[in-house]
Amino acid sequence: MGEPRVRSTWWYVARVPARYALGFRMDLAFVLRSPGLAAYYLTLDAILTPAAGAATFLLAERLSGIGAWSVAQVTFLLGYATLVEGILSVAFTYNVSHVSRRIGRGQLDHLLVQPQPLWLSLVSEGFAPLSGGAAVLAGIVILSWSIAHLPVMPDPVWWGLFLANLGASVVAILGAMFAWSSLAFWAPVAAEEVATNVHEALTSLGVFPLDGLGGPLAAGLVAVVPAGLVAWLPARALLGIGGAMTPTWATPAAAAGLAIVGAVAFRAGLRQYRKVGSSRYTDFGHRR
Amino acid sequence: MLPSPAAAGEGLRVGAVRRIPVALARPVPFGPMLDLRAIPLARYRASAWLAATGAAGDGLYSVVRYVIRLVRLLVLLTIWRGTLDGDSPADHAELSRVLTYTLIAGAFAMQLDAMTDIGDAIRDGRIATWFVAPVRVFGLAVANTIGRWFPSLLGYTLPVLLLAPLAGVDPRPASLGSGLAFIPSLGLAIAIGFALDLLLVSLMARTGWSLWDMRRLRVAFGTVLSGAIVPLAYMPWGLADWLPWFPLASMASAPLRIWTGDGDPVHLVAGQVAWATVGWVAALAAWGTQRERLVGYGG
Repeated sequence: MGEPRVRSTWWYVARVPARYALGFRMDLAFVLRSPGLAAYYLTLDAILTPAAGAATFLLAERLSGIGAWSVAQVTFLLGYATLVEGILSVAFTYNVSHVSRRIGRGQLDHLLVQPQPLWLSLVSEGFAPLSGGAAVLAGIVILSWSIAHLPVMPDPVWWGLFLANLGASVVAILGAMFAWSSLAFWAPVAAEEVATNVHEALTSLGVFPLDGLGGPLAAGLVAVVPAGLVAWLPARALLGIGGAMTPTWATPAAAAGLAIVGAVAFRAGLRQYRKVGSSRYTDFGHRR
Repeated sequence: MLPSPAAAGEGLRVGAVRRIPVALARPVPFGPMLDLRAIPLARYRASAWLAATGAAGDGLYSVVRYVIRLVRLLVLLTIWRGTLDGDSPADHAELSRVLTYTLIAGAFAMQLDAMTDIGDAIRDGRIATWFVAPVRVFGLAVANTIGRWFPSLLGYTLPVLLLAPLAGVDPRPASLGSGLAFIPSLGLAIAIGFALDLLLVSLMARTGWSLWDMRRLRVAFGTVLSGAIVPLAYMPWGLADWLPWFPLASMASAPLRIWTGDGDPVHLVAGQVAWATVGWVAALAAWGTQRERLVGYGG
């Protein structure tokens, strides 16, 4: 046997569709193996993911809006947040987005031993389009209703900006979750569930119109725990809400910054991991 | 082969007080549990203390959770200020009342949605060790939960109440009577929360539904319909008229209304007593019949 062949990055990028196809087949097998169970999960997801914003919606309905936001605009925000959550559950499930669990539990080795770059595993391993797709459908339904009741005439440019902001929201959340999750490289026990905490903060705070918050708090909710990027800032920009117009590039720009922070923190954590590894499991396989 | 206790004519020791026949040592919903002398309080106290010291050592994990809860509370307060911003004295009084309601709801959020970790114990297999502990399984779960509350009460609830004036919120109860009535009301709210927890766990055992779905279901609808986030009076479509009659309202809305002086404490507490009784009778009956079906997973 000779040396392993060195592949270029583009060679691996070209493998992504094949990995997604594999993920689709495995997810289809899961659904077909137990259709009743799959239907149960999908139904619950379709109900419970948008339910995270139930309090906001009920309040808006009762008070005919929240601050500068009309009921339809609040509904747009909630549909957008549901769709973002749906994309995360379709493309980054199996603890890829909650990567602190894998790091803290010593399961990163499972990825490092694979004959492909780590980034390719992270990009493709959490793909579950069928079992994770209910929230996407729920988000699309809610968004469709709200857009039909909003005084906007979506043209191709608007839809392009919408998709750019949607992708940016997903990237921003992943960047923040990876940045925070990197703590688990140094504190695997204490920080094992930090991604869960960050995700909880994002989902519980991301469904509120955050107008009126003070400067430091608002900045923190955009840059540190970017709940404002889940739906509030992009919805403001896309619907033109507020006195000072929010630029439509604000969310993509913030997402780029968070992606860089997340990547830098994760690489620093990996350097630490190369030195100390993980000692979470005993020789008997029990977690410490 | 050793003779079984029944064959040897022995009984099993319950608590530290008396022996009962083996036939009765099976889960009996309304048997020894109602005998207060049979409750080994010292063991529950020890369990609660262990849980409290363990939770106090969570360090970073606790701080992150406290920060998230605090930010969420500040966001809710900001939303109310932006929504109820009328100029009349009545508007100001209503805003002040809602701000206090929201602050107390945030400060006592864990108690107003009392939930043990028995579901987690079933999922990760710890439940097997709980069944051999010399205390009742759900009693141990309750003791652990109450123990874990103490660091949170000291590290989050108390500072929030003390620092509330800095955020422009008056944390005080509407009157001394309201403050005193809040104590039993909060206790009843916790009791109803635990009963709901036991009912859901029994349902998990019966149906095989996952812990996460149960928890999401409870968080998604429970916290909204109980009035823990938005006062029920601010619910649309007439929900404000009939939601207070439901058990979820007794978990959060009732004690919060008592604290803020909104409603008759006697009626509110009476409703809580009724729902706590119904809830516990149903929960104990369900748990008594379903606990044999439990399946735990290790990992």
